Amino acid sequence: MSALALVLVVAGCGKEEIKVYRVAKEKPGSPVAANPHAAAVTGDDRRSMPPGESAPGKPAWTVPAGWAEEPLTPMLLAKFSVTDQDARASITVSAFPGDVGGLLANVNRWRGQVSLPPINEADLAQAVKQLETQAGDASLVDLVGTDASKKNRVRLICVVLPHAGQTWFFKMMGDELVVAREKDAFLEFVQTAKFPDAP
Amino acid sequence: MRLDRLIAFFTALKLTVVCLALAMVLVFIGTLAQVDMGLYRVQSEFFRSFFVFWRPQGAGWKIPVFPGGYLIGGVLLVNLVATRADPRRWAGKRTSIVVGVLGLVALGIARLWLHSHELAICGASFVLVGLLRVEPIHGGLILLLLGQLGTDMLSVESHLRLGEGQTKDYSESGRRTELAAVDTTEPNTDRVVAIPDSLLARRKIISHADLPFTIHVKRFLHNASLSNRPEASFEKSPATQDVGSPVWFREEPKVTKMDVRDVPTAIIELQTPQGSLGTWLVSELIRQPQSVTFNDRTWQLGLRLRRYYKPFSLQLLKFSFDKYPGSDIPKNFSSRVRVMRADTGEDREVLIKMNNPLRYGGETFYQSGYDENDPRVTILQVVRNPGWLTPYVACALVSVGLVIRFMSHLIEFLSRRRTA
Repeated sequence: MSALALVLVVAGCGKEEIKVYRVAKEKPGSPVAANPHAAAVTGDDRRSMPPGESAPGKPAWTVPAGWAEEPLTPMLLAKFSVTDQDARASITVSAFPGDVGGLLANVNRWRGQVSLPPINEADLAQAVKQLETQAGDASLVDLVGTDASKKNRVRLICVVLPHAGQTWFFKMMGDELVVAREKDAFLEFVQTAKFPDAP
Repeated sequence: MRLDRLIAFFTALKLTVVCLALAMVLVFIGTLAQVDMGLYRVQSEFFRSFFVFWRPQGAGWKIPVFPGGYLIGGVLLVNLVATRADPRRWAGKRTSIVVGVLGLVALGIARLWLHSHELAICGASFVLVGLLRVEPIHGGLILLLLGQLGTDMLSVESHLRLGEGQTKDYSESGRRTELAAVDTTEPNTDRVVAIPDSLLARRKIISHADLPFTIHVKRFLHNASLSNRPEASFEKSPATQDVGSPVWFREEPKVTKMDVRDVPTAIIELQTPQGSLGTWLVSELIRQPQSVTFNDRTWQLGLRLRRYYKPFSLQLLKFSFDKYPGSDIPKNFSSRVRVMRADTGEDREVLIKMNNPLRYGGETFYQSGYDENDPRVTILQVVRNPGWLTPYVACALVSVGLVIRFMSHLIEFLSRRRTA
């Protein structure tokens, strides 16, 4: 009986309580603590919310001339726009823990945004090019399609960069002509991104 | 008379057999249940429980349908202990003396020669078993059961993810989260009040002497998605403050897969005697801490993976892994880390690799893997298990008990033959 009582007593010890402690302040710019095991949800816009200016892990970059900074929505780290008369493209930067559902799921989501049919794993290698950046190897996705609501030609370019347990998305989307004109500036912008933990 | 019957019941070999049979069935059905429920839920509902409950879909009640791991293990423990209490079963004076002497020898070697803390504990356990006159095989099994229960209750498993050059003085839980209310007013240090997710799920009002406000948990979602635009089946955040306000959320089913986990979200209101400070939506998906200022002190709120701080820090100097030629299958991982401890001035390099963990500060750091998205990030599994030695001591006791039993039978047999 005493053994059973001991089992019950020890079983009762597992209760979780509030802990109070004092720690040194975290250095700004230290890499974001990554989540082991990604969440079950899919879609990069649902994964995370914006670190603001003081948030850890935001890279430094050089913004190309002619890009206008836009107010942030909760899921974004940075947002810019570039216009040419009525035509327009927007550039966004976001980062999320884990692999965000995998490259294929994201490519198909973007294909849906430009009214293209989904592809399968076998076609993925053709749809994605490799890109070397300062922060590591990235994937480049370049899609041309139509805007479902405006029915005009749109283009979407996205650089997917895994870094320190996060997946970073540098995305430009808008009118085909503007995106084509800004493509080099966009890729240069990606190349200037320097992460806080980079040597 | 009644006591005799009770002793007879608890010392019966039949009870041992029934318990072992039930344990086998529990392991079998628990293994099958993992398909739908996932490993972690099965562990808690089948093995770390007194009963396995059945709840009809949508019903608010549940009924016990099978004994859980704690009950079977507990009865087995009582069965073993009761056998010791039954004087008819085992006297074993000589065996106790042998086990006690062996323990004393081990203690002596540990203290005078090998200076091994582990061997000393092993020796002390042997002496204790000898003094208590417990049959060593039973003693080993009792220790094994108690040690496993202790491990279950006291061990803490977490992960340490480090990129090259990165330094951390805390590890993080793989699945459990906490609401961290951090007083950031002081220039050099932060005071953290960490509230475990289990408490957020259980209590509606949380107060603590170190918090100047009470936290009213309006809603706690074990798993949720967030969106920055209205979408079908998403609810608008009722938060009135900070970045958790202009978002939409949706409750998701609990995940059962091994390689993914739940991402909780909570909607909390902070109340003071002067009134409400506002409502916040906190989620691990919101990585930016949200702020509130009250009585000239600034607090940051954030739901994050549960942290385990250490009195030392680890810096990853170099992470390397080899693959089998012509494949992506990892062959070997190793992490060269720097261990730094301010209070002792310790500063040294250690190589952690597969089957060669770092044991430091009461914890063991195993090379667990690497980040598949970024091969420069190492993942170390951090295990604090105060009872890690018990299986070794238990096995040693059982082995000694079996040898003594075998030898005594052999000696008896030989002496009988001689006299014949």
